[in-house]
Amino acid sequence: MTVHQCPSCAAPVDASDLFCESCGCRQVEPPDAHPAPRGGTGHHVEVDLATVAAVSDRGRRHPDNEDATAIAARHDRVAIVICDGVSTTDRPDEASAVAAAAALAVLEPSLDDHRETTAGDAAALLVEAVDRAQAAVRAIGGDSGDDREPPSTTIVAALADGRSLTIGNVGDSRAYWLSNVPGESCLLTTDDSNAESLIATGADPRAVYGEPDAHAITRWLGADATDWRPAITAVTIHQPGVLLLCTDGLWNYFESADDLASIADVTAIDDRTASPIESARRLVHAALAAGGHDNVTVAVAPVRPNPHQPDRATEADR
Amino acid sequence: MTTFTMECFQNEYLAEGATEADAIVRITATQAPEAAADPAVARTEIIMLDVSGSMGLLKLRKARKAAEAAIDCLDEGVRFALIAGNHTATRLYPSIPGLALAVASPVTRQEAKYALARTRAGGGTAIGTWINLANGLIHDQPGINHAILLTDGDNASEEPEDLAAAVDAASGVFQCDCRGVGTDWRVDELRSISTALMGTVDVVAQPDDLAADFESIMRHSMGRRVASVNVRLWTPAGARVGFVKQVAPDILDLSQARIEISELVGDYATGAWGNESRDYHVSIAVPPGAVDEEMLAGRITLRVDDQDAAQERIRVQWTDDMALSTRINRQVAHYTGQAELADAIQVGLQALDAGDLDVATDKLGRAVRLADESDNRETAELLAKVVDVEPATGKVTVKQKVETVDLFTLDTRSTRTKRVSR
Repeated sequence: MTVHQCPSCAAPVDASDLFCESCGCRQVEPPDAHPAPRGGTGHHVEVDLATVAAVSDRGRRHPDNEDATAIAARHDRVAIVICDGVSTTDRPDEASAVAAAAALAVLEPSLDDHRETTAGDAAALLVEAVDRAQAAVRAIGGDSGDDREPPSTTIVAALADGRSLTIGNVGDSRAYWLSNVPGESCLLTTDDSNAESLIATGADPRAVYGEPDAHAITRWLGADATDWRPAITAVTIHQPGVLLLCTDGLWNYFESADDLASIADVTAIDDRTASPIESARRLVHAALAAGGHDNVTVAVAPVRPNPHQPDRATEADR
Repeated sequence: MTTFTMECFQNEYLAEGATEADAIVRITATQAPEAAADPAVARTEIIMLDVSGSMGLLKLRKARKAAEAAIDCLDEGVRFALIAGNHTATRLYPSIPGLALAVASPVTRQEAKYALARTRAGGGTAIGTWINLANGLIHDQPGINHAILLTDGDNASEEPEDLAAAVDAASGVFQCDCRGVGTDWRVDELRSISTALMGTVDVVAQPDDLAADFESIMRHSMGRRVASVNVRLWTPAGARVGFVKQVAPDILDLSQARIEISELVGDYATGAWGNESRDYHVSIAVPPGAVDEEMLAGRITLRVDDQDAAQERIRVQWTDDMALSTRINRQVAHYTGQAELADAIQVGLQALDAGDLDVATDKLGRAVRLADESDNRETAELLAKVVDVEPATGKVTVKQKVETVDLFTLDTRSTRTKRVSR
């Protein structure tokens, strides 16, 4: 008889049980019974463009996948969009899907531009992309007529151009920089969430995330959104590593960026012994194994600073 | 190329039995015009911004603008970092842990501005943690290391000893100009930081004025091209150094920061230099000598980048000619007065704060006279916002209603001195 952990309370549960004997929570398939990629339904989606890969899974508790992702790549330029439809609103799956598509439609043509893009250019593109995404979400529904709030979604979008990374975000979907050097991975974005506001005032992050409304987001895209200008993060990378974008279905389980780096196996990516799609799958599987309470979507893009490009920081250090 | 000159002003004649040798030393740095194009100066700049809850969105917006203005003043290639401070310190930029400092370029300046835009106001104030983080980033950097610190409140989230320890550790590592926005911070707290870290302290009453102020601080810092200038003081056996103070353009007591070179020799770091001139007051207690006896009471050597750059002697001669010994050197007298002026203002304001109107009136009255005598109009104008002077009698009274900002301005600028020509 196989014994599994309840995804809700971590109590051991018999594989044949439909409900947890401890907390009464409904059980879904254990990790080993989780179906292989199911294309088309949106329950599990994989996109592999070699230089960037994305995996989205509905998780183990949600009937639908309300996350969406859209990626594009040209040479060493990559565009990534990840959206997480807000479950409590009307048609969140549609909201995230149209937002991701609309944003990528702005970002993708810029990848063909052979001019050197500056952080300012990339930021302007991201602002425009999020603006279009907002327009697309607004277009699919204002007042739904019933009690549900209009379709809403988070968005995190990134442009990676060689060693320049520029990210824009609204809501609590995140971007991380993952390095194989312990201590050098970090969260790049700042969430628009109640939890983040509380942490800024000095609350203990662990205590905050235990609060019931911690995950409530303070900004989103949707017909009722008032402020959707993305917060911009721009960084220049000096060491190889991985740009990770993800929804809270992943980061809820892994507090530290270092943990994410080891799950993603950044060392293998740096060595080119693992591909971005393998890394993305590892991350999604880790989230499912940890409980899979929510939809989980990740996108992984290796970043390899050109060694021939002069690194101004090291030059100055000489 | 910067050249240094040194001049010494003193009255070498001491009355029989007198034991105090005072001299004013004027050090002037002159940069050759081509220096502006010389890129060889290594420097690091840190901007520490208060993001505590009391900043609120409005003040925070102005603080971001100010930091942006400072970032725009960074010369290409200057290493820099931004620190967001509340009850804890966060490195805002560069944000990737593997890289401690960014190198100023159009790209990194832009990245830093985006990072500023993501700051939020929340939490308390523990300035010691900000200084410790800055120290960690900057301590092994060669060249000129400088920081700007902005706060709007008192240091409520840590013990005073924590701040003192942080400041102590950072002393000699970087210079720090401190600014308080509004009037909810404590002048003595910021002054203790700026004094130990050889910077300036000032109040910026209106958040709108922060940007211009930060720009001016950063431009001034970029103008400094010599990292390390020390005043080396030799004194003979039996003599004792009373004090070594910078007295112009503002008062900064260096006595505590003496670095012992040998039993008779000590170094006083003066920080980084641009195209400027500063005056120092050196006071030495010598053993009493007999009439007509002559003595070398001190030798001052200017050490620029660990090389001797100039030298001056403080000579004394005892005399029974009163006309000689009572002829106080103008420079020494002037700066003694300026130091007393600063002290009278600070003690007077403390007394006012404590509700001791008698002492406040007495000290501020003394300050009014000293400012007047030394023609220190800037200080006189600041005093006039706090006290009334009856023109006929010269009687000084504290105004019934004093704006807090005027008290802060008078306090922070009390150490600015007026110079006299030779």
